[in-house]
Amino acid sequence: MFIFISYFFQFILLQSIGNPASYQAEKINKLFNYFNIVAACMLLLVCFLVIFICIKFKEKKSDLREPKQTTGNKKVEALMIGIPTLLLIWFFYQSLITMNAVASPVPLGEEADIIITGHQWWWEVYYPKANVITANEVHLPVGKHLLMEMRSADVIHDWWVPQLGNKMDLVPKINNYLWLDINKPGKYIGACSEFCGAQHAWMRINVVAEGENDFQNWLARNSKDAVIPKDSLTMKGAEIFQTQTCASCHRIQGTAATSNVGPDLTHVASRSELLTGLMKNNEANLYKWINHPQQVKPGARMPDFKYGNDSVNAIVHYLAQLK
Amino acid sequence: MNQSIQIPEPTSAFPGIGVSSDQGLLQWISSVDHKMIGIMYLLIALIFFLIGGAEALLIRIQLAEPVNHFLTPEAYDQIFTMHGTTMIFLVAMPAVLGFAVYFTPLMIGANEMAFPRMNSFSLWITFFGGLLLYFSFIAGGGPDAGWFNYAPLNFFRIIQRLDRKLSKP
Repeated sequence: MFIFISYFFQFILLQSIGNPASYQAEKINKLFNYFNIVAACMLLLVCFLVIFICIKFKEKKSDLREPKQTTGNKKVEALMIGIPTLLLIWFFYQSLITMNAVASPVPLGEEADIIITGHQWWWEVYYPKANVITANEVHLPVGKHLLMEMRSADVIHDWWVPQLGNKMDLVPKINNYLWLDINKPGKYIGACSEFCGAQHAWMRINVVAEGENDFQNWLARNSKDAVIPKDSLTMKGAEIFQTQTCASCHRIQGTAATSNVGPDLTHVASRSELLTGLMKNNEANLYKWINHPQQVKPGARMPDFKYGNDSVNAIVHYLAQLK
Repeated sequence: MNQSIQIPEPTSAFPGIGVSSDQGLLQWISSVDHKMIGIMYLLIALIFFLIGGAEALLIRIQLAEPVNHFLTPEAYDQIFTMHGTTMIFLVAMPAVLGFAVYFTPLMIGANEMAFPRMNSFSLWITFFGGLLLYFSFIAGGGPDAGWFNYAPLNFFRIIQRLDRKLSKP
């Protein structure tokens, strides 16, 4: 019944645990369903007994004698202790097995495949083996035993993509690890699950899981330096970007901008969403955001620079061709 | 040890519940009687329960539909933080204390709490503590780091607030 309900809701909800897409999520989902089925059986049993006893032992008009008085029943008592004990032992065992399968210890010296760093309010994604840095849109290969390292640049965040398994806290100055074996390609949506400040609600996770070939192609494209601006408008945008404070927070590979206070913008135009899921990535939205950041995402680290319309236009054109 | 204990009857000089006096509200405010203090604890819990409940309603209105602009992010954070803080520290705890202060002396057969003036002091410090917390809404924004106030988020908020205050022209 619960499984049915969760499958029903997954068509309505953006995020759902109902349709696992990784080995870890499958394990967790299986355990969750065990708990649900047993809990549902117990609920039905209790409801049945309450109704049954109410009807069976109802006072009869014809029989007004005092009912038979009993004190305790050792067999029933042993059953009522024994059955929950067995159930608890079984669930404890299942939980341990699941925990061990999902979060097995990380061997010493094991190098992470992906390093995720939580920032207020965006995700920095670093692929140390390919030396690629990107942001917000997390591309992951299907069918690999991935080790994700979780870090935080400021406050505690929490990584949770329900279809991909368990949560993991991103704690400042502590590295946490998460194993991930994705087995279905697709787009998975998650959200920061630890209250992290004003824009916590718009700190969504966008995972793109793709086959090994697609992933390697994507990685190769993203390891390249940013496109060099060609026409005069984009050149003007690039100049504003480098000279008027954008470069002090953002990074564009192949230019002098190397900071990680704000998201990496090397291939920003290739991403589908802006601002961790707040808006679709197009020039109109980019214009809105750069023109008045504090109206679009109040509290975000990016201040209102009060550029003129021409300057904003130039920056938007520059960013929109960074494919 | 067999001395009999003298339990004074409430008089107008030392009034309790059911003793008529001409003191009116002052009788309650100045009271050190454990039953009156217990009742006042429960009243405080009730007042803050209504406030906390109103905050819960605001949270639910905000969450009634996606991408709702009923509350700004800052206001929402303040309200859910204060909802949690209120319900735990200004409702649940005073309510438990109210019952404890009212019933414990009756259950153990004592005529009063051991330190009646301290008992009264605890009540009023709870009440004014709650008022001080709510005063922060008038004084530039309530607490907004969640009622658990995890470090370093709580600390970050202080810095950001100071920044905003200092950078304002």
